[in-house]
Amino acid sequence: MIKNGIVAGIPIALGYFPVAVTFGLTAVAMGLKDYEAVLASLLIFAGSAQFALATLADSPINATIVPILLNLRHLIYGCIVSKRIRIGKPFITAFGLTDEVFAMSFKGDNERFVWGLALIAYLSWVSGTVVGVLGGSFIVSNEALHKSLIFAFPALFFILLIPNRGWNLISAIFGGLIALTLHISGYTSFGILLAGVLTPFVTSAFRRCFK
Amino acid sequence: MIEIIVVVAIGTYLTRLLPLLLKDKLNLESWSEWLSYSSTALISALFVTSFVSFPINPRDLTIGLISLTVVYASYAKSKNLGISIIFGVLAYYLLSIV
Repeated sequence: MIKNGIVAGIPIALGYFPVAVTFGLTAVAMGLKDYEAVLASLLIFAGSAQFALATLADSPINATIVPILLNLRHLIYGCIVSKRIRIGKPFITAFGLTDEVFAMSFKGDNERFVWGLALIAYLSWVSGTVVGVLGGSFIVSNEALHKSLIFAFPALFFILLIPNRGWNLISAIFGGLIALTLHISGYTSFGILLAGVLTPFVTSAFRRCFK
Repeated sequence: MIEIIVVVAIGTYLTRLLPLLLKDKLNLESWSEWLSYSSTALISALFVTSFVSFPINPRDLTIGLISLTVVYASYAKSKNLGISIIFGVLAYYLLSIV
């Protein structure tokens, strides 16, 4: 039932709201226009991808490719959800299948429950972005506040890295080293892309060696 | 920028939709390891490049490291992504104005 999903999704909404406020604020501080930040939340509805998009806004190719590469993990989510729950309306269900909605979907057993989760999460995400955007112009003039809000980017990515163990942790180290090396040389965006493409091959090769 | 947002939105939507439509035809599970490593590496790359800026300013780096510790402690305690980020941002702000 949708209602059950909405209730179960309240923790997701509570978590999304401050992140969305921060996204709205920082996206504007990074140079996106008010309506672009809101449009991103309305259409994309994917936290790490939107933060990556805002971070890489000065490099159109990477701002397009990196967020989509980041979201490739959703391919796996879709496979798992559709194996467990009968999906009758994939065009609707797919839109709201974020990391947290996917994780929480295990608490229910039907498609409407997933819709409820996604609905409350989406409302929180979009309204939080609007609130952030409305306070955005004030931020740019305050250096300490500006730097603090920009810190939300590494903070978000850091938290997403915390659960990684084993070979995923090794991938994180390889990816970080590749990106850092090119970042030092001034090829930051290329380094991020190279980290995403090269690391799986390097990690798999190491894994085979150690086996 | 609007074009980029629309393309990313379509790309994101397709990564969520395609497995639901093609679940019987795709053998995505054989790619799960590659996708998993790639996602982790990208997030790590985004972390490193958003955290470190050149030339390195020792004060900013110290404030950043302390704030990351606050983020970690907050996340370990609450398991709430949003609250942990807010605590980190607050810590960074307070340390910046001291």
